[in-house]
Amino acid sequence: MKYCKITTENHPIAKQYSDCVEALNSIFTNEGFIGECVLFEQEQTGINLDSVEISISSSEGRNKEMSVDVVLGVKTPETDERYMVLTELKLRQTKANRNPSITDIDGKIAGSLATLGNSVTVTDRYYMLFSDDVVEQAKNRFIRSNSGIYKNYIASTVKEWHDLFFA
Amino acid sequence: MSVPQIRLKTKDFRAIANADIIIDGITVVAGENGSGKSTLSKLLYFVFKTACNYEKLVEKELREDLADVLRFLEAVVFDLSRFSDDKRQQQNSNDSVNKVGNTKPNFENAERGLQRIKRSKDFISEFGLGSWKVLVESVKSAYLETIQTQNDVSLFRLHTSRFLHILNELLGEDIKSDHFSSDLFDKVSDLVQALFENALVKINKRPVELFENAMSNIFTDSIGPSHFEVSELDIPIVKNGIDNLSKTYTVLNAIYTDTPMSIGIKDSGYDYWDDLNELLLSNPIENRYKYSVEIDNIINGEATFDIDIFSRKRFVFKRLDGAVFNLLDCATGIKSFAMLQILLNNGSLNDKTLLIIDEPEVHLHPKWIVEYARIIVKLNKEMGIKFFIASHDPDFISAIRYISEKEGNLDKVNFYLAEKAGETFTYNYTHLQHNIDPIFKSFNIAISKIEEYGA
Repeated sequence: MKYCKITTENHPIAKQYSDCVEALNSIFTNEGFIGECVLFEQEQTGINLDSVEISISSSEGRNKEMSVDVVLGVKTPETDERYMVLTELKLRQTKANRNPSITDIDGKIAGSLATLGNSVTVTDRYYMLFSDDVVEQAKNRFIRSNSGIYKNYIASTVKEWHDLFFA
Repeated sequence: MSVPQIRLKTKDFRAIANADIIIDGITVVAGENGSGKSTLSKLLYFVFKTACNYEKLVEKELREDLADVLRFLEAVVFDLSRFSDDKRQQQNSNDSVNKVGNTKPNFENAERGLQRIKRSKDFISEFGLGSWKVLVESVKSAYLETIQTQNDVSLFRLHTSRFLHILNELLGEDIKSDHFSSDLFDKVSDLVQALFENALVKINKRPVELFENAMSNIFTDSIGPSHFEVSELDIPIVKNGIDNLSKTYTVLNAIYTDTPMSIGIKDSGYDYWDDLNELLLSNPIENRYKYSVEIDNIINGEATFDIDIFSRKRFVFKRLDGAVFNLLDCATGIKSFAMLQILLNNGSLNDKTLLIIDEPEVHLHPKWIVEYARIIVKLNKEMGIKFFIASHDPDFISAIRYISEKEGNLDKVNFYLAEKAGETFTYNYTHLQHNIDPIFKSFNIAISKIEEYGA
């Protein structure tokens, strides 16, 4: 599966909250990428789901639900099937990012699925991106929590994620 | 960058292609099996064991050599006693008044001298060179006394040819004599003098051979490293090309354990097991250190030893509810903590201790792995005990890394990873400082193996 700008920007949530469709470089830079992120081409965008949730919760007058940081539209080159991919960025050097709570991640996935709805299928592989110096610890942690849903939590670096969806 | 307290450098030794290891507080090495981690542990242990206990080791060597001399003198006196007893019996039967028959004052002197030395706790500290020479002289006199009074020439000659044989072995030379004579006792006296003098020279000059001998006993199948150096505050304690071992300051006692199963094993054949058990059987100090009490709460009891009806020490585990068990029959995980606890209780651990532990996590439940790591971090932080640890366990590595950070002593923690040196069977040790992620990358290979074989 590879990144698809059309799938990303045509998602009903992206259309409804177009302000929350942002350049990936910008989202990554704001979420703790070391230095300014220039990995992506400028027109490559993602849905900043945190921003969406802030808008929704504000208009509904409720507390903000947890959500992942970025949602991508992807498609399979062979069959043209389209999906949405949830990705949480854990790039800042904080204790919480280094040792993420599985319960919190569960909550973010559940909140994001509820926000995105069923219009486009969301893949059941959820990506957590870590800085290079802690990613192997995160992989170990997710793998050792490998029961049921946790099997679908994938820890990776930004570069691995980029190679997977953009190379 | 500050000068490392301890630094071990070695090249081309067994599985180690290159290692340059710093020990300032807690040093953890990781790497696959056969990468040389235990070799590093043993190198460190025997360097410090030799350097810190040089005089004791020389004394031990002297004691063993003198024990050979003692055996010879005992053999002589024992054999002479046969002739002496015969003579005494004859005398006694001829002289009904003098039943005791004090006919052999020199022989009895020699017997008394031997008994005194055999009864002494330490025949070096209690009996110096002078006493030993007097003893040899008294055995010589006993010999002369017996030879003058014995009647059975052929039997006596049989015995003296045995003396000659033993003496050849003792002196390590072919004595150019076909019969034993009293002059040969002078050679024994010279030998004793030489042994004492050699020991004194060794203690003063600290030649490196004592360490090299220990190494060749441990690594029987290996040639020495192309480079080897252990330094303290940048000054070599031992190094290729330097003939003497320096005295140490930052480490005054080294302890090595590669398995808690070694507790209570006597005469194991492994020096470091025997050394550890000797330490474990030291008497407890009066006040217990707080982390020993914390261990009580982890393992629900206290490990110690009691003394049985034959005055033998026996390791026991006293559970918090009052039940008492033979520690050797307890869970191996309990023994892992027990070892630390007993060493704390008898004062063996202090700021001059280097505690070397191979794979402490083995036998421990994951919860206890973290507790064990926490105790290690605390012991380093609060007591200054230095640790060199080989580990394969992600929880242990993480716990040391992050608990040290929280406790504020991460700057004294160093991690190393053994990585294959190209396509060889040898490994380079990469200094990771505080970055444990490469270690986890190596652990995660196991996961891809599970996926490969199990998915």
